[in-house]
Amino acid sequence: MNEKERKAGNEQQLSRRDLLKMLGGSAAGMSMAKIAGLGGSAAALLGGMPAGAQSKVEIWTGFGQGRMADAMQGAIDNFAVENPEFAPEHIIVPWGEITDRVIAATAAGSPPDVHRGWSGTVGNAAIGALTNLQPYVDAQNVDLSDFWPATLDQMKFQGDVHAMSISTIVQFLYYNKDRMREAGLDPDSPPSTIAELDEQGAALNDVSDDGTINRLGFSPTVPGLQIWDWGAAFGSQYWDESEGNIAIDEEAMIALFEWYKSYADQFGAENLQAYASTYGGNNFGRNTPQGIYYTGLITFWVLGSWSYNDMGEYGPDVDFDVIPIPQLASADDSAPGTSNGNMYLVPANCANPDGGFAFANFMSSSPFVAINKALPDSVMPSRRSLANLPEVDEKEGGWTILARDEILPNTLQRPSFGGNGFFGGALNEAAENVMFHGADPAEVLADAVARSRREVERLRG
Amino acid sequence: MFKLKRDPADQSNSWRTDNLPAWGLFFVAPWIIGFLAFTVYPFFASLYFSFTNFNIINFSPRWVGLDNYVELFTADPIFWISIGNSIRYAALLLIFATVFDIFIAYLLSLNVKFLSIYRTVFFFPVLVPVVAASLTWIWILNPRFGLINGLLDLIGVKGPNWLASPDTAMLSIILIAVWGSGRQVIVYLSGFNDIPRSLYEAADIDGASGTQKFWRITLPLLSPQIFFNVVTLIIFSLQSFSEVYIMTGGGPANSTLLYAVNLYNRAFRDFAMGYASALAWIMFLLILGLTLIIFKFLSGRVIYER
Amino acid sequence: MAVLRPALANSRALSAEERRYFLARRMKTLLTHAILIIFGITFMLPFVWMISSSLKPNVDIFELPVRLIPKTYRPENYIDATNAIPFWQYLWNSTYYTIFATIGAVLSNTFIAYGFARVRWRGRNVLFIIVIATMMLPFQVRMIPLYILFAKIGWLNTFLPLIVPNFFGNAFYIFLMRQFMMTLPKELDDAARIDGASEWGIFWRIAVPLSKPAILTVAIFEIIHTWHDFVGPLVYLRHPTKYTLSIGLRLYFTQYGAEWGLLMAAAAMFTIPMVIFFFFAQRSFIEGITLTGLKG
Repeated sequence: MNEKERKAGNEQQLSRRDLLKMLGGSAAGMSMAKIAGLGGSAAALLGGMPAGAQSKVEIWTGFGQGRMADAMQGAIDNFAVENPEFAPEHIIVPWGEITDRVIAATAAGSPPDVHRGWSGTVGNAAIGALTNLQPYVDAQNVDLSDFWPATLDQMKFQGDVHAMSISTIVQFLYYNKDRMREAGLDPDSPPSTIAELDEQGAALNDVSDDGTINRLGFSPTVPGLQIWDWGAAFGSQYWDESEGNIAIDEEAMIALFEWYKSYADQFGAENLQAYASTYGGNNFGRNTPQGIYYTGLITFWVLGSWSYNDMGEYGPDVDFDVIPIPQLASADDSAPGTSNGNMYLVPANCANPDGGFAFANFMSSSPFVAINKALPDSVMPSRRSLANLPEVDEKEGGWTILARDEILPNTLQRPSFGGNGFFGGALNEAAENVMFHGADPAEVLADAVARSRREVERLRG
Repeated sequence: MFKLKRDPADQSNSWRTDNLPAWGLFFVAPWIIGFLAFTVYPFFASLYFSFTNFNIINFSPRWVGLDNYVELFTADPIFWISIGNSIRYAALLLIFATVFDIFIAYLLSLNVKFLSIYRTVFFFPVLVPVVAASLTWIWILNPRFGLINGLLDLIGVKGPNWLASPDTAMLSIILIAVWGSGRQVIVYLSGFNDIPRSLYEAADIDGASGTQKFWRITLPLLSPQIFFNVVTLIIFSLQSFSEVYIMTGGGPANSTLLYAVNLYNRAFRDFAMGYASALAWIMFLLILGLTLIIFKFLSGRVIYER
Repeated sequence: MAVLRPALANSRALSAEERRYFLARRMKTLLTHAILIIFGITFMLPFVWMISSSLKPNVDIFELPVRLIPKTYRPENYIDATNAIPFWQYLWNSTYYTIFATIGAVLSNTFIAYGFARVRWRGRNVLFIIVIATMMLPFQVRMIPLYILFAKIGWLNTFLPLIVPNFFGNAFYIFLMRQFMMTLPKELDDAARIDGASEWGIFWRIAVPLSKPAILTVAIFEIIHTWHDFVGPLVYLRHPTKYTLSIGLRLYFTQYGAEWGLLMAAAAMFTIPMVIFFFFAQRSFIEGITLTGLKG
């Protein structure tokens, strides 16, 4: 960065600070108005709009609890203040069902106006389930070059923007320092290669004679197979844009499947599965203090950065840290996992697409949201200007700079083509077949790719 | 499927003038309307959709001929896995549930005291909503802290991994289905109670053994109930969905992926509505075929007259 | 046993053979009870475990050895469970669905069954065989086109797709009520006809009052069925404010994972209304099942 840019950056930041001050002022004004009994029309009064002109914006997210729900509500309140012409209504849908339910509601003709999703959700554009946001982006001169290149790619479907990204998830290798100390390992030199990870993990396992896993050092199958990320770490890609079709690095994926299998063989695939299902449901107790991460039942694991601040909430006493995912040393194009944009998307045929876009754009561009929502959710703002705010550097915990400077620029972008969900499911099935039934990796991979390509074709119509 | 009550007047020619179809149709009209709207229409629509690639968002079916069916049979291993799973599930459930329910109903028919308490107990699982029951079973079958493995742990035995292992997951869901088959116990119990005592007394006089009485008297006279339960159980188990969808989602490694779960996933997870319609039609033909076979095989052996 | 007792009391001295016979009988009775009790306890254990877990604090959930009787009680689980999800909203949705689905089932099936059971007309038996045949058509075949149909007419995310079809009869209930109505004496109809009653009058004033047990049975079956229904709400109710307890409970599980205490409390609150209901309706219920267990 040369001197001039830095100056420009500072000016930008200053102006953002000013904006923040204004925001704070208007928020205070609104709360005063509320106290004075003006209620919901306060926002309209501040914006100089008659209350009757407000149009409802229905927002679906999965933020129904705790810290993140509060942060989300704060963001929505600010949106209401900044955009008095819209009346946001927040509806909470469980994460695992959000995409399916939005599509079903879209088919039913009653979709929300905007909803939270991920890079993979952009693929729903293939069946016409999303509103093309490119006209809005063009009309409002949104600066697309501000987004991380990988995230911008994920926002687009066939060249047009179909989603506005608020933040981008990267993957960390989390490690529990207390447990490393217990086993006599140096908590300041965590594993940096796959081989070291295997080795250090093995030193920390506690398995009964009958195969019951009491505590786990490391297994790439726990908490989940994390196939996109480990595949990237082993040097595979998933999509060939020039061919417009699924393409994997077969050699890398076979090596990955062999790696999974070595763990299945060592512990017994079903013992690993049993361990995973013992301490919680499908989510591994992520949202309760009994989850394995918070009780020291696992030493090394890979999860998205979003889990970082969860650790503080549910396992405040755990001494842990994060590093980039180790990569296979011998692989040419390996990456420290994938990046996955958190998106706001506007369903096709919704009642208020203008309001939907306004909200999506607000979430992706508001400094308030970046600092008060994205960072507490431990995800990096998707716009570089926001990711470079001084508040990001000041954020304690140390994950922010690692995520922004070391991981984000090097990750592989998670696929967002139509049918990516099916493809992910097929890869998981293939890996399970290798682990549980000793299937031939090359064979099941070829089959998964063939079936997924057919699905891509089918979705093209 | 059932032996219908016959109205003797039907056989005579004495149709009264005031009994022309008008009144009959008046009463049956709601069913006819519902039949056309909720059965006939979807029946043929789903046949049509099965020959298309159907886009759920803009409701545009694109004709693809037999493509879906060809793909099913030649290029979709999941289809075959799910058929195999469903047949295994139905067959084992049929055997376990029938043997167990007849056994319990037999014990209950022995004029035991506290009959109504026992009957309530065996019927109780039917009352637990399927979602509540499924979630409870996930917890009971927890590999470490669940009730079953916890109790086994008390005597120093390591229990199986139940739903976490492809070897035992299917068995688990079958046993849970047997647990929930109390309706059948009640049906069998009524069958046992309808067998005239005099037949057993006569057999006693002839010096028949218990086993002989069971095979020669009990089983033949219980055949209407067996027939009814077997047919409904097969139809029910081939369509079985909720328990597995909630408890395992079809895993691990597709070991409990029942046909109906795969069908739902294809329709409402992947939104491949045309393909899923083809799956539904295969399912219909499968159930129809099996039911006809059972009819041919069993109905001749069912003894209705007492 | 009941028959044998007086015989026992009247005989002053039993021969050795007789004594052996009664001993064997007694052993058999004991064995029968033993088996029934063992299986009976096994059958009730899941429910006991549900209640037991629902009263445990979360720290006691993952604990060995397992305890059926909680070490410490935490009844607050029940309050927390109703706060963790919009429990009362879902409970109301379940209740609403159950009430209207049951009204529909009772009205339509009584009406239709009368047409099949008490009115003689050409084509009746052919049509009735079609009614029975529809039982064999899997729900899955109808699911997709009905979903599309209801989507087109804007019924998704409402209770209409779940309730309206109930007003057009159900093969199983038609069958059940027809079987019952055919046992009512014909003479009543004839007498009423001579008095100049219309077909409607006979239906309303004779068939309906006499069919009360069967109507009750249909109502009971339908209440249980709708309360339990999972697939219908899963397919048609996509809006979070419309979830029934069936859907809400499962989603709660996938979202919160390991909060077994709360989840079991919610499951218990979902189950208990059915248990209370069964307690009051037990006789009609058992009779209903016996009735469908069909005899000629």
